[in-house]
Amino acid sequence: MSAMVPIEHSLILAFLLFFIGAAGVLIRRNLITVLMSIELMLNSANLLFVAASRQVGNVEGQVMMSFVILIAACEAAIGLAMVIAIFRRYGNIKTEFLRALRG
Amino acid sequence: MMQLPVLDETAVQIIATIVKFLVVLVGVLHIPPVMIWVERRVPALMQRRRGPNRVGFFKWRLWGLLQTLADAVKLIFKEESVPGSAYKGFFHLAPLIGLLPTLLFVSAIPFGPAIEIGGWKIPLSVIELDIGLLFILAVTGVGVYGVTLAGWASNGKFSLLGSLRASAQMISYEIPLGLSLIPLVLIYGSLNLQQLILAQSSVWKWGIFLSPISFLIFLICMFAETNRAPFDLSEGESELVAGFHTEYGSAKFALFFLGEYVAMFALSCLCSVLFFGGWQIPFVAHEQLVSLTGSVNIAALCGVMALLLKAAFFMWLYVWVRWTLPRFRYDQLMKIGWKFLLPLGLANVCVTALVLAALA
Amino acid sequence: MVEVWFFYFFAAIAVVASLGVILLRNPVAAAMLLVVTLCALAAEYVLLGAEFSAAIQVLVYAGAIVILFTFVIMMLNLGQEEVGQLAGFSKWALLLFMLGGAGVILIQRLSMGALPPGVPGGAASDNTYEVGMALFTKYLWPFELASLLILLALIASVVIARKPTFPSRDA
Repeated sequence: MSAMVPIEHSLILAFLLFFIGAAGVLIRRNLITVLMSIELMLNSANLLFVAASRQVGNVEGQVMMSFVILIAACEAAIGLAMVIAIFRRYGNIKTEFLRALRG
Repeated sequence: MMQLPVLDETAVQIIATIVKFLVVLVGVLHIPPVMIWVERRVPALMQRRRGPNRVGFFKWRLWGLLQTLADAVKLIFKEESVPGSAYKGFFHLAPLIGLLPTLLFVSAIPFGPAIEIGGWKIPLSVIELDIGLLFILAVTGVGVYGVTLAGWASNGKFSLLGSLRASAQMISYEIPLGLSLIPLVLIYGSLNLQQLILAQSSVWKWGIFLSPISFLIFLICMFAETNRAPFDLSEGESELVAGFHTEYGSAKFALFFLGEYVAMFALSCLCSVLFFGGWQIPFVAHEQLVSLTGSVNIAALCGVMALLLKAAFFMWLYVWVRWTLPRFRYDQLMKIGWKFLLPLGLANVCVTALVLAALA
Repeated sequence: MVEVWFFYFFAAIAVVASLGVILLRNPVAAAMLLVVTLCALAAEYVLLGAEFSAAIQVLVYAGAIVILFTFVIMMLNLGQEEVGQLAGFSKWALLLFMLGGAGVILIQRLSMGALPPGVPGGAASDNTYEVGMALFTKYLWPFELASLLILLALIASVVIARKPTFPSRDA
């Protein structure tokens, strides 16, 4: 590990990933893709944590990153369970069918 | 006389890595033909029949060894058929996706102690990692995709059912597999496979003696991870035709076969590395061997042979079990995984940790 | 220098693959590209000297979470036709959002100035050991709570995904 990647580059990559993920949440109507986009956003946070851990020179960022992965796993499990429940009830998983709370 | 360009450490290691990778690749390609031959002759032995013994040159028949060569030629030159409703791209990609992780798996295994060529020390694993064990777990985790994609891309009922079964099974058994490795990491205190081998310096320090329950769990998971009998539910020819590779023929089918046998070989090697001292010859310390043969390289070669022999035993065990035990039912399989192996693995980790803490 | 080029290479893979994740109509293809993104990010972690993070990234994310996604896609048997269709209303929102994001990056670059060069070689020696030590000493309680969270998520997902006991609206 001689040359170090400047942290700005990791930051920009993380920003790009976050915006791609956020855009996915906005423009897609398929619940599964929306969940996948959320995973992308969580990953950009992870990248930031790891890059910061490298910058500061201790491992706490990586510890946080493992917690984020853990929460992502929980989120995915519950989210997908909800997708299955929604599919059972409505017969598809498009977001525009979820209007039961819309009064 | 021409002066050779002076090589530095990195260049040597890169060249060595490429050479080692090619050697492993070519070596691995030879496993399926031999194993298929074993898989035909061994049950023939068990069932008191002859097995294939006809193919050969003139009067040399080589116990039917060339039969598999003929099969391979047939498979490669057969016409390819793709189902009309298949998702084409993934249909073609799936066998490769399935093969790649197993190749990575094999390349992480240290086949012997470091050898010396021209003063350079070259480790005998394609990629030497400090986190070798974690790497292997990660790679086996990704290995599910080949099977899953193959079944989905074929777009047929049997394929889909087979692949769902196979991937559920592989995911379920990955957890006990991981749990069975934790006690070893606790005992030997390293994730580096070479370090793990070196820590098992004498026979009584082998993993199988220090952590027999881990070995039991690992052995069961070994069969389940490779979808082999008695856990070959994903193929289950009496229910699912051939499972996830129902629609595959010719060279792609051969690739699936290659993947399966390479995975078997990789897990056999891992089992020898973790529980049977890896490349160390029982009762002969490596230093003794070096002084006996007078060369580090010859001793290393002996080590490689030892590891391959140990792995060969487990390959044989695969075949032995396949022709001895009947297939499990799917619910039985899941019950074994989640209700027996998982609690056992957890208890094993706890007990090992407590014993180690008491001893420390 | 090689490392920097590797960084750009994997960064490019990650960005292109993640664009594919949100733009492709075939859900399984999207999931596979998500795997590619995750593996590219794992490579970035290795380049950043975080081997342990890279390993668990592949192990947990690619090996478990995305497999769950693929499973659900297969179970619900979502074909090409059912999915797709970008939501119409939010095209402008998306544009605004992207512009805003670019603005944030710009402001961040301007306000931060040059960052300190960082600690060379820090957090590199025995990465797994250090992460483990931190997890089991300083972060022991968060770690235990996290295991509780996982248990809760497990129970919750089983309860949610179970066959409904109430009559369905369509029935």
